[in-house]
Order: sequence, then structure tokens, then C-alpha cells
Amino acid sequence: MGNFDIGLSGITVAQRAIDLIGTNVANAGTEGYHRQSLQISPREFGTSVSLVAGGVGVTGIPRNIDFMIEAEYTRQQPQLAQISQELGALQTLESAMGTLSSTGLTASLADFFGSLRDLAGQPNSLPMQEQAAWSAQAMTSQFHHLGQFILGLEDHLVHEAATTVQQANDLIDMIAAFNGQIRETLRRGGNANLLMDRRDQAVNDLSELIDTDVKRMDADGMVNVAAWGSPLITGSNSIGLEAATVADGNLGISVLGANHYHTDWRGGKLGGILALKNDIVSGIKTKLDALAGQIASSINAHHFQGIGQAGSFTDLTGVVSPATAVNEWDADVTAGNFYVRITNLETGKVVRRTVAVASSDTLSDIADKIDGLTDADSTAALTASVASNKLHIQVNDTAKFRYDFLPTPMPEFGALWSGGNTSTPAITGTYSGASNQEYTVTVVGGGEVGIDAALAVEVRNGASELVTTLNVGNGYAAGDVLTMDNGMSVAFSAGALAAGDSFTVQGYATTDETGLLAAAGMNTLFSGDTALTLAVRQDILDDTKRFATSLNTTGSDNLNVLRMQDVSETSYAALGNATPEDAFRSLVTQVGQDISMREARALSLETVSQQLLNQRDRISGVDVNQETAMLLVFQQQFQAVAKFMTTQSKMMDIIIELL
Amino acid sequence: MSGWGAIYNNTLFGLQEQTRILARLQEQISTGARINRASDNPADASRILRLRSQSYNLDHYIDNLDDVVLTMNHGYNLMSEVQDAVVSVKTVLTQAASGSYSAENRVTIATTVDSALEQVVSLANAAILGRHVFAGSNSSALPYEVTREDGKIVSVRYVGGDQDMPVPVAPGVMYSGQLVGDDVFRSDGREAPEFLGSTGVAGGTGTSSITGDVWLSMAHTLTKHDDAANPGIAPEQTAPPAIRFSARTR
Repeated sequence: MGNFDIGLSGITVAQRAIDLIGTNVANAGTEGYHRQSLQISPREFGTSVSLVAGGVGVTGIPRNIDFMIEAEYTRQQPQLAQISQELGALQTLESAMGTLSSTGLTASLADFFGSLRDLAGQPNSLPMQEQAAWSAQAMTSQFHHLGQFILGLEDHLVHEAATTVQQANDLIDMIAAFNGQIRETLRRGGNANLLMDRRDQAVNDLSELIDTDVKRMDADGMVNVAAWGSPLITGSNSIGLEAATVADGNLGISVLGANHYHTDWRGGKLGGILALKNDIVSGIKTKLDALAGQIASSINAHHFQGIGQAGSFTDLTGVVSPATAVNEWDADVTAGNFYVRITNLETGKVVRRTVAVASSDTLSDIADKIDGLTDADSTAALTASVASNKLHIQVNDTAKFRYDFLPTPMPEFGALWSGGNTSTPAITGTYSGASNQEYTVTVVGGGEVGIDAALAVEVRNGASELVTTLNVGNGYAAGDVLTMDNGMSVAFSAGALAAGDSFTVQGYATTDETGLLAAAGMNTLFSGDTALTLAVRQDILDDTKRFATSLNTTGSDNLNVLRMQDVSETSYAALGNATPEDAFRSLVTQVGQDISMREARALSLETVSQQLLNQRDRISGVDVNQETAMLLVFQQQFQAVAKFMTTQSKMMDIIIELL
Repeated sequence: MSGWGAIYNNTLFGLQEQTRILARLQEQISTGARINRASDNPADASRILRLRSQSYNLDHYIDNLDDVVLTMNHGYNLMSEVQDAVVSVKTVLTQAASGSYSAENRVTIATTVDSALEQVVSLANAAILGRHVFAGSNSSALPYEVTREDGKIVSVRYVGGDQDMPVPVAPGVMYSGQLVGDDVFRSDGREAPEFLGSTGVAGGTGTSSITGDVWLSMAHTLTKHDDAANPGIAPEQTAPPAIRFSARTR
């Protein structure tokens, strides 16, 4: 009968309303839950002419949701997640760099160059030599520590990418499954609100991980998700992602199975990991390696041609070098000559031998050229070989011979110097010019040194320009030292000089035009060229008298260490036209700026997110007070309708009793 | 009306923000530094790093400077004492030239000169901080080599370095505390001798001749004059040594 239907409908609705209130209140704190409201409206059961009787029915249980706010919130997540990811890693890196504290690479660099300056003041003092060697080692260990940290960070990033991709794939599968369930539920006419809430929360979680582009298909309640232009979830179908390291060492993401890895995808935590690994951290690593390599090569370029207090060498071993031709080495080795000075201790004669390097030579070829180099009297003095990929040069007789690469100038006599010249020239000093040059000294006038008026010598440089004319005749005392050019001086002993005779003097800015000796590790201070591989040569640490402070044969001056300490004031193109200390300082400041910028951006994004969340809660959030009030309403309704049904039932009983 | 979620979110967000600021302030208080890492203020951090680096460098330069000043002071003192010794020799020789001394007196004077020579040589070979002041860059060896006979010095030769040792005492500035002995103690400035004075000659058709006595000091590596085996200056020259005079008429 219609009457009972009215009551029944009222009770049903009240029950359902209370159920819904219970659901809302139970989920008041659930993340991603949207408040459900009950839509009730009157229903007709029967009509007589004048009365419309009806009950109530539930016409719908909508979710209180504002799709625009939801979409905007979802859109913000990838940017925020990427910045947070980058910020975390950069802050750890900054701590590792130890920037403003008293330890760290900044202090080590300053200490190293400072100890070189101290050594320049006292080159023959053992404590100063040791201080210089130890501060070099402290600097290399700081480089090593940083390099190790960056390597660890990169490994961690690769690992984290794999984990994040796994998380994302799980979420993708979950969303697709939800999509399927929602479609089934809606098809059967059911209510999919709770499923949709869970699915939407999963979509938000996913948008923290990757850069999602979410499209709602209102027709069947499903949500399609694409990332970086590739569709990942279409209805209940999904495809995952995979991460791998590609050929150039960068990290890339690909859609599962497509095997096409993108290294430039950004957005979300995964995008942050990619940005860190491929751009930010690898950029810092490149700059750090460039700094280590530049310091090593600049210092070595001076160190190899000097000698320490220990004097010239009897035995030198280099570093591990490639077996390929020299023009394929990482270090910049070009064709040209290098010069080895060989001293015979017994005869006292010194000679300088030239070794030519061709681009196609390998280290063994070079060893062959050095092997068998002779002294001034053409006695074989040197033996050279390659053992374990290291160049090894030693003298044949340690009592007789010594060798080094000193640029000490000496007169070279050729066919233009007649045997009748009884006066012998002696060259002293150290060449201070910027590039190698050959000077020609020609006698004019002829006669006895110190006696004949017209006797003089003309000094011409490599471009055949007359540099100076020196009077060695009347007014000159034999043995007096006269300045030639660029730090070199000449003195003539008593005797005769023939007019027109000439000899040459080589001024060496470097005794190795090719860069091979430093690259092969001959008498170098540092080995390695990256932050991880930079190290001080063990033989110098073992015997600090081998620290090549000097450019003179006595080993007592400080000219070489002066040049080495000048490296700290020189700007290098490889460091962006900055000095080594400036380069590291700008690296540190750059990291600081990156962090500072990201902190500001993260704060502003978080504030926007927060405001969106507040707005969302205003619409979709559960207000427990309101729900409790509604509870009272429906509870009363239930009681009232129950009373109505009881009354109807009693009336039916009366009618039945009447019959 | 907004739900509990909003209250919770706002409270949490606000608390987190305040905690972050508080933590930063406490870090500043406990370290005593306004800037503890470059990201606190990158522009200031750059200046701090630069100043710190300059400070380290200056410490090293100051060390070197102290060293150079010490060596030069010592060198100055040594040269003063050498000067005193030379002056005393001059005084004694001036007295000897007066001709009123007997043979024994002249032996005493010779002994005085000899001991002054010993003193000058030992001053020239003096060292400070293990480095010989007048040895130039060759600071670990004695700069002046002495040859003796019967315990007496017969020759002194400079065997030190011929370059000084520049030491960095300020950015781009080098100074040497080590001196080259030859530059200090030996004169190598040679000029053609000029004799100035009136010859008393006037224009005319007569003849005039002037004689003069000149002392010529010749420096030789061998300074022994009485050894027939090693003569210093040759007793006989086939050609006379060239000594020229120029006479100017005024």
C-alpha cells in the first residue's frame, strides 16, 4: 500500500543519510577524500484527485568537488617536487664542500700556494719543503674527498631513479585498475565516489613523481594520464616507465619497451633526479675536474724542468700512460722537441741533447729515442724503457752521469766557431723570456779580450734583430759578466777572438715544447688530472729534497718555485679565465646561488599549494559540526517516520478488527 | 565552511615556517656568524671567501717579509763592521806611509792589516738562519773561498751565486734579502780614467812636455807577487801594458 511506502521511503532515506554522515565523519582526516552530500527529493507514489502523496527518495550522492582547483593543485605538484628534490641534493653537496668553514678545499688551495711562497723564501729549508709537500697532499685529499662525494651522489641518484620509477609504475597500474573498476561500477549504476577519491589521490601522488598531464573523461568517469607527451594511462590500460643510463653516461627515462631514452625530461621528483644527474651535479663535477686538471698541468709544466736540493737525476719513473700514439692522449701533447741535459761528473762536461717527438709516436717510440743518448764525448749515458706502461729513464753509470731537463743556457759552438779562438765564453743566468729563442753572438773587430780597442760582440735574437753590442776589448776585464738579454749574461775569458766567428745560445722558456714529459710523469709533482685521481707523486713525498725548487745547476735558488706559486695569480681559459682560487670560489658561490634561488621558489610554490588546499577544503572538506547537526536532523526524521509507520500500522489493525 | 583539514594544514604550515626561521636564528647565534653557508647569502659569501683567501695569503707574505727584513738587517750590520775594518786599515796604512816607522813597527802594522782581512772575510761569509747573506742564490755554501799558506790568507775568491734570490713579499712584489757578494764587495765599474788639471800650456809655437806619475791598481785572480812558480803580474812584459793618457788643452 502506498502509505507504507511513504514511511519506508522516509526510513530508508534516513538510514542512508546516517550511513553517509558516518562515511564522511570517518573520512574527515583522510587525504584526498571529498565530502559526499545526499541529494534527496520527493517521490510520488499515488494520486487521488486532490492529494499528491509521496515519500522521499535519494536522487544522487554527489562528490563535493571543484575540478578546477583539483586540476590546478595537480599541476603544481611536479614543479614543487622537482625543486624539492634538487634542493635536497644541492644542500648536501654544499655541506660536503665545507664552504665557509676553516677546513675544505678553499682553505687547502690557499694553504698550498701559501706554502709555495714560504718555500720561495727558504728553498733549501727541509721544514719548508716538507710543508709544501704535505700541503699539496692535503689539497689533493680534499679534491679526492669532494670527487668521491660527487661519485657517491651520482650513484645514489641512479639508484633513486630506479626506485622512483618503480613507485611510479605501481601507481600507474593502480590508477588504471581503479579506472576499470570505476567504469564497471558506473555501468552497473553504482556509486563510484570512494573509488574516484582513491584514484584521484593516486593521480596526485603520481604527479609528485612525474610531470603528469591529466585529462578527465567525464563520459565514463575515467581519467587519462600522459607524461611528457606520452600517454601512460588510457582508461584501464597502462604502460609504465623505465630508467637507464645511456651511452654518454647520462640518465634517461623511456616508456617501457620503447627503448628511446630521454635525458631532458623535467618535472616531478624523477625530473629533478634527471636534472641533478645530467645537468647540475655533472656540471659541478666537470668544473671541479677542470680545476684539478689545470692545477696539476700548470704546476707540472714548471716542476718537470727544475731540480730540487737532491740535484739532477739518475733514475726517474713516470706515471701510467696510454699505449696509443701521443696525439690521442687526453693530455695535450703535440709534435716538437724536448731537451735533455746530460752531465758527466768525471769530465765535468755538459751537453744538451734534442729528442724529436712526432704525433704518431707511442711511448715506446719515445723511449727508444731517449735510449742511448750520449754525453759530450759521445759515450752512451742513458737507458730508457717502458715498464708497466710507465716511462723509465736511468743513467748507465750512477757514478759518472746525471741528467735533467734544466733550461740552463749554454753556448753551442758549430762550424762558425774556429778552433783558433782561445777565449772561451761562459753563459750564466736563467732565461726569462716567454718563448724559446735562439740567440746568435757574433764577434766583430777581432783581437785580444780586454786589450784590443775594436773588439766587441753583437747579440742577435731569434728574429735576427740586434739586441745589444757588448764591448769585450779595451775597458773590459776578462771574466766580467755582461748582460745579454732576458736574464742571461755572458763572460769571456782572456784570449783571442776572430772577427766574424759566432756561436749560439738557446734561451729556453720551457725545455719541452711538446708537453710529453709532464704528461708522462717525468719529474712531476702531481699525477692524475681529475678530482678523484689527483695525487702527489710518492717519490717526492718520500724525499722532499726532490721538490723542484730550482732552475740552476746548484739546486739552491728559488726560481722554479717562484714560477709555481705564480700559478695562483694566473688566469686560465679552461677555468673560465679565472685563477684557480677564483674558479673554486665562483663554483661555491654558484651552488649557493642555486640553493638560494630554489629555496625562494620552493617557498612560493608551497604557499600557493597551501592556499589551493585551503580552498579545496572549503568545498570538499568534511565539517564535523555540520555533519553532527545533520545527524541530529536525520535521527529525528527516523524517529518521526517510525512513529508515522507505527500509527499507520495501528490504523490497519483497527480496520482489520472491524472486519 | 572550511573543514578541519584546512585548520590542520594552516597550523602545520605556519609552525613549520616559524620553526625553520627559529632554527636559522639559533644557528646564527651559536656559530656567531651571520652567514654560515653560501646559500644564506651568495653575494656576501663570495666576498667573505675572497677576503679569507686574501687573509691567508697575507699571512704567508708577512712571514716572508719578516724573513727578508731580518736578513737585510743582518747584512747591514755586517757591512757596517766591514766598513769599520776597512777604515781602520786605511788609518794604519796612512800612518805607515808617513815613513817614520821601523821594520818591527811595519811588521806590527802588517799583522793588523792581516787580522782585519781575516775579519772581513769571516764577515763576508757570515750566515743567518742557515743562509749566507752575501752568497746570492747559492745560500747554503760559503760565498768566499780562501787560499792559505802557512796559515795566512793569500787569496780570496768569490764562489757564490751570481743572482740574488727574489722572495714574494706582496702580491706581484719580489724582494731579495740575499745579496750577491760580488755586487757588494767588488767594483766592476770601469771607466776610462780622466786626468783633469791645467797643463800650463798656452797657444804658441814652442814645445812643452809634461810628466806625471800615476798609480795603477790592477786586480788579478792571482794576488801572490813573490812566487816565481806562480807569478801574479808578469815581471817582464814583451809589450808594455796599454795605459793611455789624453791631454786636453783648454
